[in-house]
Amino acid sequence: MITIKLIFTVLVPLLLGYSATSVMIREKISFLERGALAWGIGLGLLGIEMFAMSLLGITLNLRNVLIPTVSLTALLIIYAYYFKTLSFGLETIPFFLSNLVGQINKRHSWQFYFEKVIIILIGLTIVYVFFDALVKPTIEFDAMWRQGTIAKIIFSTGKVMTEQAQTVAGPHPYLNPLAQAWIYMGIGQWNDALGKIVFPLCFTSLLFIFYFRLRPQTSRLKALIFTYLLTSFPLIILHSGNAYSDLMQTFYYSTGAIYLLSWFKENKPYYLFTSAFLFGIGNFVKQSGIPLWGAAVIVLTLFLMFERPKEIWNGLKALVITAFVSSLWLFSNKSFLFGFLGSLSAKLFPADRAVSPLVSGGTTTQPAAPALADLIYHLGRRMFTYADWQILWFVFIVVSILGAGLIWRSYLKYGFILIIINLAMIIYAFSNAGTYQYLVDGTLVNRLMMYQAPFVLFYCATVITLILSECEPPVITKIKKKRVK
Amino acid sequence: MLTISVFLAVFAFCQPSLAENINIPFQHVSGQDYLESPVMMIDSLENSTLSLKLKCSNSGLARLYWITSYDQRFEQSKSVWFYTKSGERAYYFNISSQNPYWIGWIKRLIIVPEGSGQIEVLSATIGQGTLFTLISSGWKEFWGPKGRTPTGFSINVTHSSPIFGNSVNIYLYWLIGLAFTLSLILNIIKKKPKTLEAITAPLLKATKTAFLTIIAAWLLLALNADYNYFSLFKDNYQKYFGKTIEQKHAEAYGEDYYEFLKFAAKTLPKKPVNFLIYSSINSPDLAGRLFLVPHVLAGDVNKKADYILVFYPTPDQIKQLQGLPVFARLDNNKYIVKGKK
Repeated sequence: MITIKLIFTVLVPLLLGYSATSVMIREKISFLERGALAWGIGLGLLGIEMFAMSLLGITLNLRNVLIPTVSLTALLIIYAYYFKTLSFGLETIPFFLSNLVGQINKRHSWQFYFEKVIIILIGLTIVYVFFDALVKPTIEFDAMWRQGTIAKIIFSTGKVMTEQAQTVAGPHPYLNPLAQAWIYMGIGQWNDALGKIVFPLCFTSLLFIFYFRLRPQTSRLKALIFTYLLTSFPLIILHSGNAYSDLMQTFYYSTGAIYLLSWFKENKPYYLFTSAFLFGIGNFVKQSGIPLWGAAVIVLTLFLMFERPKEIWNGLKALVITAFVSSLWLFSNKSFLFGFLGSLSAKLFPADRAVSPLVSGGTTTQPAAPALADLIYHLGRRMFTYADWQILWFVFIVVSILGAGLIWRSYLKYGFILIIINLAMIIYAFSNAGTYQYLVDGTLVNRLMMYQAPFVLFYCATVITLILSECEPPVITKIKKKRVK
Repeated sequence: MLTISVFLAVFAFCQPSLAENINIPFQHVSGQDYLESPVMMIDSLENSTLSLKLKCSNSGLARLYWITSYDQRFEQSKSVWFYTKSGERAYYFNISSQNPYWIGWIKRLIIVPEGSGQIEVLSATIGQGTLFTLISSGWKEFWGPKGRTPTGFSINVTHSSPIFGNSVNIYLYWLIGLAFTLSLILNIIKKKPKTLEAITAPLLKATKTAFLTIIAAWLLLALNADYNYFSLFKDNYQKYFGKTIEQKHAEAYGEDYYEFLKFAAKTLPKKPVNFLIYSSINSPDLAGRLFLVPHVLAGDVNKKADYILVFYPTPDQIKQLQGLPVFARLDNNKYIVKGKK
């Protein structure tokens, strides 16, 4: 019975997401990519809706959440049906199946068998991540005292911003506990093991989006290999099975950045708006969502200025979408934006000492900032000699040097700039004495780097596959469809 | 000629060093679960390799610690972490390659089993080692617990598997660099470019070689990661699979503590109250705060506690509790007192 309830509980945000993507994405895309997006967007919309209801003083319970959710889903479906954009991506299933059946009767090369092995390995990792999340209760430190506790408070009291929840949450937004609380409401009991189902679903969605965005420019085998390499990061796998917010932040930021890069490559507006939507939800996951979005806005601005000035209207629309989606948190006095403005005012008016730190745990009033060389040394150790990122950062350097010609002639340079801005932000975040310790002891730095790791791999995979296939992409960087070689 | 070569190879592989190996009689320390060597003065430079023959009651983990004449504290930085297998087996540690703190004069060694089970040292010698012991040590180090067995810190950092004290990544960086360089040289020799522009073709070939090496190396690391996930799967399967959520909580929090939390949840008033936990166990608030919601941990809201949950208190805590009335009692070490502290 509890399994049926769990499936129903998961289906609600998934359907909401499907209906939202039907309105947003009017082109035919694979049902798996649409499903992955539907989960991410649906979960985000549901969380934001619950948060809005709680701000309006409505008690959160299954009935109260279900009524507006079903209504919104129905409205979106009617809208999509009326404008003939309703799509669950199901029309791609026959093609997918016929392709699969067609392959069975063929004589196969080694690539065919290699692909199957890779698919099995990816599948086993997905099974493992689901097992890891669902088999054990919440046992990790932060997940117990912060996200898990808030989720149970929401489930038990029907309120989000209780005095205890606000203390425990600190400067962090609420999507993670709201998502877990929704599962408890759906299954009708506090079951912290089952509540974690949201994380492996985010991980699986990340894999699908990664694969389907990479696939158009390379063979299936290469796209599968790089998707498999995405499963090789132990920190991402570990966080897919626990209730920290870092995996969610990784999912929303990395997929947002991947869609943004897709828009740089091909001028399809839905890529840009999907990216904006994902960044907006990402702002509601962790306080780092806002600076990550800020970096993307800088890169988008540069791209619009130098490559597609005529698309500035769509750029502004994307900005408004993100701001609107995350407005409930973005403009609240607890958001990173507020803290950042506070720290700026402290620098401009030194008398104002009581400012929020940019990274929780530190303060901006500590003396003696570490030297840049020390920061780079410790960051370098974390990047290159631990297993968390395997050989990702070394490969990023190699790819950026050996593929420099291709990168600087194409849209890929904007991906490179985005990665560099993020690394610079990490160095900046640890550049005061209060936060420096979290770099040295490794408690926070790896989790901050995790947010962009899938995107860095996507960028490396794009360059590697393009160079290995010996043909550069027909890169459309101007509105006049100028081909950049 | 071939026979001589084979003979020399076998000789180099198996030949013990000319210097004599030193026997180390490890002994159990009464009342403790670890084994220790007598006080010695061993030159770490001359004696880099420890060969152990252990008899273990079950498979598990153990750590070898040492102290030197300069630093006489047993601590993690001066240790080697290793897996033990049940039964009688030989273990080789080329310690100087695994740990930079194997320096100076070694004064004492101890072997500490981590977890249940008994370890018996059947023989222990220390010396210069051979090529065989060096390779065996590196192999065991790679497949050892560092980077494979989760620790409380794994949520933030996962070590990569080491070989001779260095991350396996370092060797792969060299491999990729070497593949690129060799390919570039070979292609330049083959194509003999006359102009600077003509070097583009060999460079592109070398780039492709480097990228293919990257993919191959990373696939191996990914398989290694999969192996680690499988080990974690086995651990969690044994620990949690097939249990109810209550049994899982008992496993995670400790059965005794879970029973007490259940007792508290049942006994405390229905209306949410503020509580504190007095206990000698590690981080009792973690599970208490989560499990007892909607009751509120008093520290979170900066209020005085309506109730204090007492679970195996420290003597200091018992003193602080004096005069407060007992509200409910599970047993002498587990009870709830009423009152504002």
